[in-house]
Amino acid sequence: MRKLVILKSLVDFVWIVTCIPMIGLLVFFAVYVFVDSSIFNSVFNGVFLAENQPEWLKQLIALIYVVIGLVSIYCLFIFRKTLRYFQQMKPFHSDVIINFYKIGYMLIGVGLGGTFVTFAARLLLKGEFKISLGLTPHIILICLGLFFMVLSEVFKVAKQAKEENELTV
Amino acid sequence: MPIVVNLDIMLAKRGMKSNELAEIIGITTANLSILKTGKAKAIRFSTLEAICKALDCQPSDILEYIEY
Repeated sequence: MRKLVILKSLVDFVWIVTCIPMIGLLVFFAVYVFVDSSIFNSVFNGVFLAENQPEWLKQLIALIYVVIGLVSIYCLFIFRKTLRYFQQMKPFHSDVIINFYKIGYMLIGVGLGGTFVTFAARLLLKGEFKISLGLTPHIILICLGLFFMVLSEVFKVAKQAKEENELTV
Repeated sequence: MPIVVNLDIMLAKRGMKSNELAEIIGITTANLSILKTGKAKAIRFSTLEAICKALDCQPSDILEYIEY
């Protein structure tokens, strides 16, 4: 159980550390989209080189990045909630199975979305055609997502086995 | 489930109460209730043997297959 406490503490720490910059990122994004679009160039000067690209395209890509970031944080939130069930000694609660499946689904979405958006951003904003076939964070996210989905299936089978065991007289 | 547990009928025939049977065969009344209400997913041979011994009957007197 000490491992669970350590994991929960770490996830809580990551959750807090991630939430604080996310608030700043949301404020920045809101300013960028609704108030002053030149803020982007002043902050990320040199990151996106193509200044002649339409502003809406940059805003769209920024929006997708923000959505991906928010979905990742939501995954972390659900994972925290799931760990709470483990602490309450309810590992086979139906919410745990649903949460694992949800996390898996979202991580795959984040991985695929991240891959496509990074590719599109490079192509459209930098004019660079680059496909990374190595070990990218997006591939790891997709693998992690699939792992969570498999874990959800395993928990479903375990729950059925537990119920059957309980209903054996 | 098409398997019906006729434990109630056998208990009534033998004039025995559920808690008495539970005590004789060594299971909890809650588990016996699960068996009686048909919620049980499986029954151990040892439990079936104990029930048959206590009620002096055959497994077929307790379990019945009914096709719906």
